[in-house]
Amino acid sequence: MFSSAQFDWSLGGPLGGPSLLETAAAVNAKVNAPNEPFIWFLQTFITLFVIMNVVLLTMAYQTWAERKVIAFCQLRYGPKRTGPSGLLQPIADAVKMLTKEFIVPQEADRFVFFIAPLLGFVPAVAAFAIVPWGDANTEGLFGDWIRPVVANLNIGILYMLALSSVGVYGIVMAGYSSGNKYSMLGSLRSSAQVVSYELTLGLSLMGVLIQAGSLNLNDIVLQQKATIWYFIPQFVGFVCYFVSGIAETNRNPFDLPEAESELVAGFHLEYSGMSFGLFYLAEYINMNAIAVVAATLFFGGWAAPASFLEFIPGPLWLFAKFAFFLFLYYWIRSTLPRFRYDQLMGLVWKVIFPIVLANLVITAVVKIVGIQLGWWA
Amino acid sequence: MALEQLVFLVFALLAIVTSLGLVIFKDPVHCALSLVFAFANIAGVYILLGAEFIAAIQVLVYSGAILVLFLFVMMLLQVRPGPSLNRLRFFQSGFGPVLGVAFLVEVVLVVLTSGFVLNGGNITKPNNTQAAKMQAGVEYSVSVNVIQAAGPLTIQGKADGIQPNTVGHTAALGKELYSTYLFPFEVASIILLIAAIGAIVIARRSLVSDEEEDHPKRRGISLGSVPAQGSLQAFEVERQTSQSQRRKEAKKRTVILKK
Repeated sequence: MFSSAQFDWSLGGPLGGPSLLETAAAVNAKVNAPNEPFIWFLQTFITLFVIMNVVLLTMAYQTWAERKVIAFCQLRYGPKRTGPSGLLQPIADAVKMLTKEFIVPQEADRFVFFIAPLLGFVPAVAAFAIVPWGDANTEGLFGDWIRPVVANLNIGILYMLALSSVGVYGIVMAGYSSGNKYSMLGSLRSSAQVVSYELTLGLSLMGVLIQAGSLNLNDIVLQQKATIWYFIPQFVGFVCYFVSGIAETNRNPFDLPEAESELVAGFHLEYSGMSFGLFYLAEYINMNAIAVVAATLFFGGWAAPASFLEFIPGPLWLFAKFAFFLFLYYWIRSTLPRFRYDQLMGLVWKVIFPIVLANLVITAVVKIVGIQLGWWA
Repeated sequence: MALEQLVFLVFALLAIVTSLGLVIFKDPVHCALSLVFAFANIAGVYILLGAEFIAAIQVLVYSGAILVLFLFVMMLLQVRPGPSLNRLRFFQSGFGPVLGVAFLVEVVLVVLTSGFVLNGGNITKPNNTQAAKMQAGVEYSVSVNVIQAAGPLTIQGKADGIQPNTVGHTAALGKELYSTYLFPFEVASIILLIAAIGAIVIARRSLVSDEEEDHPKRRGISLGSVPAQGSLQAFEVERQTSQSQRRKEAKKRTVILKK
């Protein structure tokens, strides 16, 4: 967690000989932590600042991109008045949100009503702390002032899943505290949907986990770089992950919790101004998180597809893959109609769940047999 | 290091405050919400102890469970006003505090008397560094050999550049769980499986054969002789039968008139 400067690394390991602690110390001293805790904190702060800004700017311009892509699919122009080809539209939207009044309904449960947008927003942003945009074992930009990853967690995938399971609280609390039937219905739909799809979201990643033998996102990327991108051996898992991810973020065609035509927008119906803006941000940032994790776990993250393409830096590769998934999101949104509720639940429990279970078992068996026969690298 | 103590104090205080909130709040939804926060803070304490895996599982499993609890609250209870303290039943108001205090005393006794807690029972001592904790954790929970054996599993040293700092407690935990503690693990899984099957048996819809005894073809759009009650077909059938009855009556009337 903290700087290695606090550690007493001269401590003899319990093993006698080069201990776990000593090897970890060597690595940490080399890469992850400078000697001064203050500098370590400053570096973390700067890295967080940069990554937060990148995430929020990406989110803003992604709304523009979404409108443009959907307009293209529907033979329209999309936003084009504000700035050249509508490029200032996200900024205009942000200003509009910030200047609007924040109205609390009389029936609202005030405290919960206030914190619900934060509960939705914080886990969404926190997911980006573990995504590496370069090799986390090397030095970052500008003499490590911007590190390749904020937190190189050993439990990366579990952290991601835990955040996605916490993220639904914002929606449920919003629906409950608004004192509005439509909001309540939206949040009930959402909780049932997210509880179901979370299961398949986690299980579809287990194949990757077995193949890589690690929960650490950076290790998984390195494994893919050394062997093969996991969307080829884990194609079934990838498809299931992406479908579950779309459902988990309540996007089309699984956007039942906020179906405009049935629930008038569902859980965020009573929210206005920037509190609505936070929900809006959270939805898009959750979408980004699903996309960036898909790029990292299945498409090699920051690694280039071939060694002769390595002159292009890692962050650009990650961004390109990420942008591809976002385009997939928009494409699906403008193509498919909304599911019916029983279809939604039938899909996850009767189709995706058995498939991911079979995928998990087959991957495990293949790995064990492969190790026994010496096929496995 | 003072910082670690500070972080621990923040987590611990928030955990205590939110746990109190869980008991004190009147609205059951507020109680569930503060339970979520309490679990999150306890997960933070786990991370300080170096048990990342347990922390992640804590958030993942318990928060999901609380969401279901939350849904129960919303669906089964009257949502807004909860029971106030003076209207609790005797069992709740009388025995609850006694049980709580007894449990508290037990916990305090365990903490004070045994070597259960790492690092001599004081988590915030300055010498409780990460290294000391890892050493203690190695000695306490997992035998050294397991970590050594688990190391190569997680590292996989084939791909160049992978560093040995990926050795977490997760692999060691998994290895222990599926070898030394396999039997309790399997027993626990079977108990959970039984619970799941029980829930399905209780919640399942009654089979068609059960239904046909008294209410033939009750659900959905029926193609049988008797349509589902309240469905569009039922209205249609009712309309048609009433029309035909009216026609019959009209015929009777005309017959009577002719006579």
